[in-house]
This record gives sequence, structure tokens and C-alpha cells, in this order.
Amino acid sequence: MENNNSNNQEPIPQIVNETNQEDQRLQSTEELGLVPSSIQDNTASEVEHNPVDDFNMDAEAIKQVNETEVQEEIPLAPETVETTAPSQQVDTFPDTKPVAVSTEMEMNQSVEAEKPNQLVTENNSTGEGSIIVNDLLGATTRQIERLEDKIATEKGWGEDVSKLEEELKGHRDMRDYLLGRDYLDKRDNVRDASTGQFKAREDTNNSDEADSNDQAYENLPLLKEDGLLDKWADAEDHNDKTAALDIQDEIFKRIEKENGMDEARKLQLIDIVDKEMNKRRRNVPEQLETATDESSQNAEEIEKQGNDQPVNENPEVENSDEQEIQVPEAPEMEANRRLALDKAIEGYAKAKLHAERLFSGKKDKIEFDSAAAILKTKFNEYMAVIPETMRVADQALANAREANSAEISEIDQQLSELNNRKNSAGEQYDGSLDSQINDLQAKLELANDTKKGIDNEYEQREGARQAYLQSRLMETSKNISQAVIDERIRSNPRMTKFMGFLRSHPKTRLAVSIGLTAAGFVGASTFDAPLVALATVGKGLLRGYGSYDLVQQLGERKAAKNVSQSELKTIDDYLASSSKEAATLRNYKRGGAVIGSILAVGPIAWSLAEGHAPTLNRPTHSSGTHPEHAPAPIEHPSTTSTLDIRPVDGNTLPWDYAMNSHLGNLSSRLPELINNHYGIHFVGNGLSGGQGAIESVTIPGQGTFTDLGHINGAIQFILGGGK
Amino acid sequence: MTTEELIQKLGIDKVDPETQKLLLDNLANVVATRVMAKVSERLSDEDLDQLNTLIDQNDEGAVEWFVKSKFENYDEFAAKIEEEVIEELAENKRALEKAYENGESPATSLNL
Repeated sequence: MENNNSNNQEPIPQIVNETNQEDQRLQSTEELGLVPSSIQDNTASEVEHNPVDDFNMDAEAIKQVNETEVQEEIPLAPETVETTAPSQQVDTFPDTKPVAVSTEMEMNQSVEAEKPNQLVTENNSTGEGSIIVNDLLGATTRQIERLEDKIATEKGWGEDVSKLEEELKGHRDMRDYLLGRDYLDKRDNVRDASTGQFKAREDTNNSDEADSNDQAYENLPLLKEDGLLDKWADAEDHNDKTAALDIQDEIFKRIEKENGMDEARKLQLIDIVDKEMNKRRRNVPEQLETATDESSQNAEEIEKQGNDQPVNENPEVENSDEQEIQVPEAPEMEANRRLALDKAIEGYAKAKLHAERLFSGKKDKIEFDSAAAILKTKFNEYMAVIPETMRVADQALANAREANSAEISEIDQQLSELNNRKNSAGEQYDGSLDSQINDLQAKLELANDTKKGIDNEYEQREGARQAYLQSRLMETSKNISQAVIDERIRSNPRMTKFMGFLRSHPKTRLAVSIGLTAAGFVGASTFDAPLVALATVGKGLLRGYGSYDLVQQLGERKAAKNVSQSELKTIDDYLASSSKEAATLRNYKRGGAVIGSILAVGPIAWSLAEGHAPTLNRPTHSSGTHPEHAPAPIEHPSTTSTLDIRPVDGNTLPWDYAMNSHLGNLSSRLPELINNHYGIHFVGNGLSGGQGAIESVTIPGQGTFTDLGHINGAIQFILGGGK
Repeated sequence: MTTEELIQKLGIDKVDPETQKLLLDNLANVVATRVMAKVSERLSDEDLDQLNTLIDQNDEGAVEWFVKSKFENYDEFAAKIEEEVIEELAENKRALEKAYENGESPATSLNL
């Protein structure tokens, strides 16, 4: 084999186009801005001779050479390197067959070939660069072999082979040029073409990578002529998804025009372009870059907090002398693992979308895999604590029964004593004990009611446990899918209308469960609507799992019977004893809210005291490192009377209004709405027969409104941070 | 699968009828949302542009037809997802029940 340009460090001589077709192809390439104007290609079946970019390898050429087994010696580098018979296989480019490469140096060292020799560009000694040049070498080598075979055959038939020989010469020039550059040996050492010395690849990679990429892109007219990447980076910086997508489309179209580029190389190119765009961004959001890492970190932080300290659902509650609340360990841990799971779901959804992006690369794929693994871990950790929570709830109920029984006995004894005194007084009784006796009888009635409730809880415990478990599982499953949809909507405005359509057309068969419909109990699909939270529906269909239902039940009873302050102490006693190591409640209502939100309904508490039919959905979290806890729905009269909420956009449905106003997907932000600390209450029509729509809003100091304007105004106020 | 079979499969046979209905409604929601999440993966920007045009024309039938045309057999696709969801919920429910009864860690799984 000839090696006529072994020391050449400059681009090989230009090769003149020969056909109109090739002219057109070149024009397309130049339009894309991928080929420096000094470089032209020869035929449609040839690779580019550009020393910098790897984007112009002709797909046909690659395919053709792929079909040819390499059986010859290939000169690698000038003087010090001499090729031998094939001894190694290079498999760094999709759909290309191995290139046989070896070096004399390596042969002399008697090192068995385990890794391919890989050439690297002089400006880029990273693995990526080495693959690029190695691919060119492989393709060129195969093309040479193909042409040599063809020339030999043609000559045998007496044909004119001058054009083929000219073509062959071009390929040989290209090969020699490539061989004169730095390359990696099979032990991953970089050979410096100028010195002939080898050094460890890692010593050269880090410092060179950024500079080499910069230099590479300096040679791409695409970046200079119309500044597409700068515009794209700017659009990303300003979170202008529409513009960003349009620019991506344009870039993709240009790449698509490259008929001479195979799919693998196009993907390689868009990955590089994407990285280059990110380098140009002024404000690369951390969560975008490290979505999964952050998710993992946050999840760990949240869980650590959950394991180590009580959840601070509302600082005001914690700081108040009247609201000293402690909760059992397992439910608290469940609440915190739930937050960690939600964070993992969020990270997974983001990573999934990143991995699906047009410009996704290996890093995105790795991050997606990592996010999926984290999600599975957090899911398992969350599920692992649920049985413990149930045991705590069981114990709480057992404790409540014990306390109830003790109280009934105590009241009975007190009543008995009072009645004995009354009876002993006989006709001289002055009525002084009547008030005490009446109070005790009222307390006894309450205690007996509670006993019935507790007995009822026991009777339905098995069913409650089943419902509790399935509601948790369904909720998690739904949240994952919902997070993916939400993220897709966020990242692609085109998706918004389609999803909105499905949401507003519940009868559309697309979103209906076929089997479930056939089973006859699903009247309308509830796609994308929050799940019904069984824990807070009606009287509490989960039958007291956690202290929540008990707290709620007692609270309702107090309201119904208008019990006195002295009886409130008794209720507190129930609660304290129902969870001996847990609750010290000085206000049943607030305590119920806090414990309820932790034990039974996670982040959702739909105006507990008001007893609205609640909905349950995935909470949203900021991208910060501190976990957000859904606040308990505690009213703050001192602040709510001054709310400046005015009707807005009275002709638009709330979901659409939120989306149009850039407040995000209302479904996923529902927890913020219903857990707002302004004392604003929304009432929905529920999902059992309703569509999950918001029907009214009660604004403190203003009243209750059913018009869309007030509902949207309240949504804007809450989600807009009180503005 | 009949409603009764489904209730047995999900392990909610001891649940009162009212709660069962809510759970099954929730199940339909879970399935539908997962189906739509999967559908959304299949739709390219060009598809969405066309869909949005059809939506603007308020042609529900055309929207449905268009989306289904992106699948070799949409009904089969949706039914398979439904089956997967139900199976996943049933298996995890059993694992949690067992963990609760035996005081051990549940062997739950998550299909992504």
C-alpha cells in the first residue's frame, strides 16, 4: 500500500466535483454550514476531506465499504507506524464493519489486541473525536478496497478505469491524511503525531476537550451566518419553548437535507449541536442539567428529614404554643417518603422528556436510566413504609378504643357517685348536682357514640385496609403518568391543545379504558383529572387509617353537639391516648388538619373542617433543594380580610385560564390551590358523577362566587403568589 | 373481565360498594392517563400540528381517527396497557398485604 502523504498535517488537496448532482449535494452541505468552503467532495460515494468535522461522510460510501471485508495492510502513521495484516476490529460506528488496524510499535510490544486503534483529531483528543476520525478512516479504507477491487475487475474487462483511479487517489489522500494525525492505541494511549510519543489518554482529554469543541465549531458556518444556536440558546434562557422548538426544527431540517449523511451521524451531529447550544446559554438551569442528580439529592434530603425530624407542615403551627404537634414515626416517614417519591417522579418525567428530545445524547439517556432507577427505589421505599403506617393506625384505633372504654368507665363512675349523692339527699336534694350530671351524661353520650364509631371501624377494618392500599398504589401510578404528560405539555406547547381537547371531551374513546367500560361501571373517562381521595370523602371511606379520620370524626361531633370547652379537653384526651407517643393537641381542628394531611391524605386536605369532597393529586415542588410540604389548610383571619381578588377572564374555564396565564397545569397545581393559606375555599363537583370541575370559590371577606371570573381571579391570586 | 372479577383481582372485595365504585373510577382514570401518556410519546410535532387543526375544526371523530391511525391496532394497544396497569396494581397490593401480615418489607415493583 502506498503512503504518499504520511507527514501531512494539513488538509488534503481539494477534489473537484464532477457531476451536477454532486454540485447540488455540496450546495446543500454548504447551506447547512457544516462544510468549510475550502473542502469539496469528489463523488456521492466519497467521504469528506475536512480535517475538523465528521459530518459529511457519505452514507452510500459507508454502506458500500461496509460490505467489504478489510484484508489488507493499512498504513497508520508516518515512519514510526506501519500497518500489518488485520488484527483488530473497530466497532465504533453503527452499521460499519470492523476496520483492521495495527501498528508496528504495538506488534513489537507483543500486546494482544483487545481494543481498537482509534485515531483522534489533532484538536480533539476526546473519545468522541477519536470515534469520528476512526469512522472516517474505516470508511475510507473500505472505499479504497472496493475501488481497488473494482478497478482490477474493470481492467480485466478492458474498461477505462481512469475515473475510478482518480477517485481512488482521492480516497488514498484522505486516508493518508487521517493516518498522519494523532490516534489512540489499543491501550487507550494517545499517540502524538508530531513527537511520535504515547501518553495516557486521560492526561490529554480534560484540558483539550472544551477548546477542541470550540475550535471545531468555529469552523461551522452554521453558527456564524445566522446565529441559530445563539438564538436557540437565548430562547432557552428565556424559556421561550415555542421559539426554541422552531429553531430546533430548522436545524433538524437542515441536517435532514444532508442526503449524504446516514442517520447515526445525523444523531451524532444533533447531539453535538445541542451541547454547543447549552454552552452558549447564559442561564443554564441546574434542574435542566442535573435533573436526576438533583432529584436524587432532594429525595435523599427529604427522606433524611422525614426519618430524623417531624414534618413542618406549617411553621405557624409549629411555632405556636397552642399547636404543639408530634406525630407517630411511621406516618411521618410515609409522608416524607411520599415527598421523596414525588420528587423522583418529577425527575423521571424531566429526564424522560430530555432523553426523547430531538437533540438528546448519551448523557440524557444515562440520566434517564438513572432517574428511572431512582424512581423505582423511591417507589419501593415509599411502599415499604405503608404497612408500618397501617400498623400505627391500627394501634391508634386500639388505643382509642382503650381510652374510650376507660372514659366511659370513668364517666359511669362519676355519674354513679353523683346519682348516689343525689339519691342520698332524698327530699332534701337542692338540685346543685344537676348541672354536673347533665354535663356528664352529655359526655357519656359522646363517648358512647365514639364507641360505636370505633366498633364500626373495627368491623370495616379489612375493607378499609384494602381500599387504603389500592388508593395508594393507584395514586402513585397515576402520578407517574400525569407527571410525564405535564412535562410533555410544559416542553411542547403543541401538546397543550391536544391534552386540553381530551380533557374537555371525556367521552372521547381514546382515553377510555376499554375493558373497564365493557365491565359496565365506567360511565365517563376521567383522564387527567385528579383521583378521588378516599381518605377524605364523606365520612372517610378509609375508615380511620391514621388518626385523621378519628380527629375529623370527633371534630364533626363537637360541631354537631356544641360541646363545651370542658368536653374539648376530653376529646384531646382521646387523641393523646389514641397515639400515646404522638399527639398533643390543643385544638382539634388544627390538629386534625395537620395529622390528617400527614397520616391519611398526604399533601391534600380539602378544607377539612368544611368537609368538601376532596380530590387528590400529585403535589408540585419547586426545583430547590428544600422540600416543600403542603401546608395544612388553616385559616388566617387577620390576613384573609384584606385579599385583593378581582374577577378575571370570566369566559375561560379554569384549566385553560391557568394554562393561558402561564400558571401551569391546574391539575398538577391543585394541591397549592386547595391548601392555600389565604383561607380561600374552592368547591368542586367531584368525580363521582361530576367532572372534577371547580364550581365555586369562597373568598374571605367577599363571599362565595360561582362565576368563572371570580374562580379564575382566586386561582391567579393563589398561584400568582398573592398578586 | 367482569366487575366482580376485577374487584377480586384488585383485592378490594371487602371494600364497601360505594368505595369500590370510587376505586374503579380511579382505576379508569389511572389507565386512561397512562394510555394518554403513551399516546403522547407517539405523536410528532407534525402530528400535533395536524391534530390541532382538527381540534380547531371541532372534529372529534377526526381527532380520534387520526390518533388511532398512528397505531397498528389502537384498541389492542390500549387494552394491553389496561391489563398491565391492573396486573401491576394487583401484584403490588398482594405484596403489601403480605408485608402487613408478616411484618416484612414488601416486594413491590414498578413498570415504567
